[in-house]
Amino acid sequence: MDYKLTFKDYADALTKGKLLGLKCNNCGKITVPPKMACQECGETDLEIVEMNKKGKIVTFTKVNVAPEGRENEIPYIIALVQLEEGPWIMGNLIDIDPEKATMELMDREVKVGFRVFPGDKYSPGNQPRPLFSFA
Amino acid sequence: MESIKDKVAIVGMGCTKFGERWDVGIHDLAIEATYEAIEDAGIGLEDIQACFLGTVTAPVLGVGGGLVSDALKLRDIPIIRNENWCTTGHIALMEAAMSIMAGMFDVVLALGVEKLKDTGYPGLGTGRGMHPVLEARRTAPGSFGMIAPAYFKKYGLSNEEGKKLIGQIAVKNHHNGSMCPKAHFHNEITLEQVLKAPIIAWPLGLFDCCGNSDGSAAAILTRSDMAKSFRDDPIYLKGVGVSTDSMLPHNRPEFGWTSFGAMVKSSQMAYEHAGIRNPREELDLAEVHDCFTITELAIYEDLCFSPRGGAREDIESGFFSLEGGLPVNVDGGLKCFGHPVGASGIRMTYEVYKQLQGKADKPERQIKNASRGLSHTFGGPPQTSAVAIFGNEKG
Ligand SMILES: [Zn+2]
Repeated sequence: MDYKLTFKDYADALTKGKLLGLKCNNCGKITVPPKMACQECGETDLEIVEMNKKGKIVTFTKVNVAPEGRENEIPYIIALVQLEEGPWIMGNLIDIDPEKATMELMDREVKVGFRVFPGDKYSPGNQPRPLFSFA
Repeated sequence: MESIKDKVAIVGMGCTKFGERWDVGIHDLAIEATYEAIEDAGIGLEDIQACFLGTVTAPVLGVGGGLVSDALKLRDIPIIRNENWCTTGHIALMEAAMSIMAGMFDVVLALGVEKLKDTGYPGLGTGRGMHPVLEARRTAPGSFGMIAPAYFKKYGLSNEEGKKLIGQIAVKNHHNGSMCPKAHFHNEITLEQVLKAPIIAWPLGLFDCCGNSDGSAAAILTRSDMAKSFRDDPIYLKGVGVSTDSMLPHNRPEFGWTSFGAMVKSSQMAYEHAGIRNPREELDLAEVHDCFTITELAIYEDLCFSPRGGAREDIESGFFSLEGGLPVNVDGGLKCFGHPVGASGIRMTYEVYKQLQGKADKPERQIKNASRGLSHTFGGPPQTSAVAIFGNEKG
């Protein structure tokens, strides 16, 4: 089976400022980050599309107790963002003191950037991941 | 599809003291729970024909059947181990029930055991965390915490109103657990303490999060037509349901974060088997998955205890308190009794079993005339839900 968009290609594109998704030729939904089959319907006939990196916060939390080895990152905000093209992605929100995170964040419009986070014993090394800032 | 109602009965149960059990090993926990269960059923270890074992993170000794075969001297019988997030204990019960319904065995042991503290969990279930890249350092409290802003916004609650609303669930569960000898914690807490506690994952503070505990619980199941040969007051299985959402909630566009398909479907499945049309009226107690206070709130609505958006009114009126219309988490729940993951579904069922027999450990927490009870677990990112319903009479 063809892996249309590998995770490495997705991550490389993210570090060049491009957020890539996979548009399904069966149901039309977009899968971000990439999977081998459409996350909505399971179809493998997919094409790579570029997102415009805009969306809004649909829910969030602020983490004060981090996973093991990530204590130096706290506190941080995890936001779920609905992209304009439809898919939801998860990432950290900057531009605000995390300790001030409250319900006012809901529906705020954001743009998608990235930050490279250091690897750990569970990963192959440094990895970029989406980072949201206010639009 | 045929209803499973009244085909299987529980004739013995056991549950260890929950807590930080540094003094015992996982073997000892399994022995403590199982010996109570076989004594309760009036059988010996040699009468057990198969064991369905639920454990999630068993340290040091591995997680296969050997974990308990030696401890319990269960020599040369099938021991089938499962792991299915927080529903693990319920899955062990259901596998046991299915094996009886299939006619394979007449007397089986469903056992849940977890030595959580030894796994290095820091106390809040954060561990190594979720996928570091895809899920942005999400933790268990962070995962469930995301329900809260979505719920507060949908129903017009301010930050303070929302915190106070879910905080009352923690106060209730600690009150109930304070009367339970086997619970991890025995302290009553005030709403003020809940509100002032350090934040773990906003808006969840320390007292919005359940206890990470060591513990074990066990059940002896048999065919319902044989049940009265073991005891006069067997408890009958009325229905079960399990459901796993086909997409992680955070990947699902338009997902509301206030309701979970797996919880709705698993409960509907169980209600259908049990012939329950109005759970709010027909259930006498429920033990549900209060891993975090906000989860218990979502459960009220997804399991149809409260109408959509009606949880607030029911919380504020005390509907789910020990004296209320539908007491929920009468032994303190995960919040106060503790959450040794693989044992929890069976621990909840232990409480339902005792209540339906009228044998609660202390008379002041016995629910009068309880005849129908439900237990429920919900796990994963969250994504998987299991429900079981029990009754003290056939029909
Ligand atoms: Zn599709």
